[in-house]
Amino acid sequence: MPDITDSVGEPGAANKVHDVALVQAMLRVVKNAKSSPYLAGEYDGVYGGHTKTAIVDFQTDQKLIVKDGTEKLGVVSKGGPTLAKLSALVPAQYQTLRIMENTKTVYLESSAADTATSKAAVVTATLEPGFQTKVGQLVQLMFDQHKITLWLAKDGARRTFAEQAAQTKTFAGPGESNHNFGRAVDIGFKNFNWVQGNGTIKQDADWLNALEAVSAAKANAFWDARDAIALKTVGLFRLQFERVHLQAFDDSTVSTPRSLAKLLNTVGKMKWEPQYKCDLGYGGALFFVGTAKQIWAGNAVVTKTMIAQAMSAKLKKVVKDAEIKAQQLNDMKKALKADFELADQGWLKWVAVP
Amino acid sequence: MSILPLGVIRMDTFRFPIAALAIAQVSLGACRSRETAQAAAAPQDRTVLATFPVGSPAGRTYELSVATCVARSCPVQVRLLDGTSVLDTLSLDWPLPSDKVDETSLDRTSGVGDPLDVSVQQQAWSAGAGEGTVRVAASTIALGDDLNGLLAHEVAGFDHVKRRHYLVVAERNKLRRAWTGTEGQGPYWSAAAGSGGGGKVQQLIYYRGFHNAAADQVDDLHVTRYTWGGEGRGLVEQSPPQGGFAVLLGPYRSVAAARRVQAEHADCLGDYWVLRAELFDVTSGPVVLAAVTATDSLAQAGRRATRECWPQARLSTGKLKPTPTAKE
Repeated sequence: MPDITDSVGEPGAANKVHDVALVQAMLRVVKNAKSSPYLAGEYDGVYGGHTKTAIVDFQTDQKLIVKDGTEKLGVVSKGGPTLAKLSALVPAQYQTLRIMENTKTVYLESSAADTATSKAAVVTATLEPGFQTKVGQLVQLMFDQHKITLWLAKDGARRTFAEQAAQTKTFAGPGESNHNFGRAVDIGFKNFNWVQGNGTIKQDADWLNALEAVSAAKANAFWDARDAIALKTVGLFRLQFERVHLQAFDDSTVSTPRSLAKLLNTVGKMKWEPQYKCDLGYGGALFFVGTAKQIWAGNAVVTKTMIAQAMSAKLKKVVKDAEIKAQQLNDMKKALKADFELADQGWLKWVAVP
Repeated sequence: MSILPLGVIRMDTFRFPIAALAIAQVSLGACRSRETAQAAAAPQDRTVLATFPVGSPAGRTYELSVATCVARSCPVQVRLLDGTSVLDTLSLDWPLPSDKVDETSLDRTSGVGDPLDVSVQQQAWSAGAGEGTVRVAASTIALGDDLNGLLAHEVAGFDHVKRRHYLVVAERNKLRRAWTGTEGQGPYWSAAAGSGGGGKVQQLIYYRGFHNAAADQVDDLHVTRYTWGGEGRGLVEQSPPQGGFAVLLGPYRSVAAARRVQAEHADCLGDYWVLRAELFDVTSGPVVLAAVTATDSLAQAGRRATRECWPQARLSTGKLKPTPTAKE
């Protein structure tokens, strides 16, 4: 049943923005004897003449004002008869109307069953176990505190290197996304039902696109509520620009190139340094061998000269470029990719390097 | 790519293949190692990245610069200069997060330039690391016979990329942000480009796309062509509206079928969107894979490029019908 934290109306009511918005939304969907909503305009959380008139009309129609002073004309009090009657008359689909403090967007409660389903999806997702536990906690706490179910977005958990390679419109190649190591999720508001200004229910997507189109500030209020739990209670970290994304570590303190190089050195067969410098397996000088996308595609930047130099150092004799066969070039490209494949398989061994 | 402190800008790694990019010119006066006379003329409160001609009156320029950082926030600013006198200053929305600035370049996949114009390699500057990276680039766009606007882009993030596009215009002694293109939360993509060129007045073409997460729903894509004019001297949508051109694959029976083809040939179809066939003038099926662009010639080039990558692809080109302007 919809509830308020303090009184709405006048005289003497607190008129907190979230309480006003919730009462307005109820008056927007409860209709009078002429089948017109008591509040004709859009609900906005701002108390004014239209809201006052709507409250008074409702109280009058419902004969809620009695002379014993339990309810004042023009005031909806917490736990009072006007709120009880309004709640009783709200259409069935609005029975779980709710609003967060200091916000203006009324929404419908999610269900415990949905939250359980979402948590199950987190449990079955491929994620680093400690991080996975925290994400599950976030889902539960968001429901406990706000009755909102958060859901993993499509491709929002761990992405394999191959899946990363298939991503377009990103700068991150295979091994360069925080998603590749099971320490990041995209977790948003799929199926979130909020009430538009005119009282109709809008079902939104993971990213609150519909609400954001109305007001970025209103959408941000929900991201902020999620992050209040995720960051302060659960210990996750957000990104500056993309709000759907949460991760296990502070991005500003971790070097993605150094962390990947460390993983490659841990699980791979060659020596790596950040930005794809590799000893080609010969233990000597390091050579730049291309980008992550090139290496993963089997198109690492390797030349006969590079291999000859690396072999010369290893064998302590001069190996000429002409001695390097085309097959050796191809094999080296495969070997470089093989190290990436080992990093992909050994993603759990990734550690954050500053 | 080396990391350079602000005030030390190296130019040797850049290419300038596009005439429309005009005179992107780093202020050498900001370099401390230069001659004293030049250093004396350098502004002390900012590092100049590039200057661009306004058009008329001659001698007026747009200056793209980075102001002094405050608490790891380094505002990216556009100034209107008359000679060396600053007439007005305007800040872009996203400051650089560090005074360590990399020289870099941005291409069409970053939302800079036409989506199918592989020649675009626009000079850019980058600061920050990982998802906190902010890149900035700018070029002129010919709005009138004697008026250039400055089309600036900020591209933020690394895996999750967000873009913001600005058209800044000089009006008498003031700068005005005449237009801003923004992306919302989620898998949006956008690009802004001048089209026309060759000494003529250009259109600003704005592409906005949304990669739909649901396997059974098409992507969203809008192409809007703006021209400069109207009584308010601002950007107005071209009337009658004109869409774009496209390289097409399909039609396919379902969204899932189209997405399957795209996934199987991801290396070749990164520029393609899963769209309703009815958006185009030549296809009949419910769904197509489409890569959009501003001109028929770029569509033909895109078709050739896809065919080189995937010789068996059954490609065609067509026109994208104009769509209603989406709400910003």
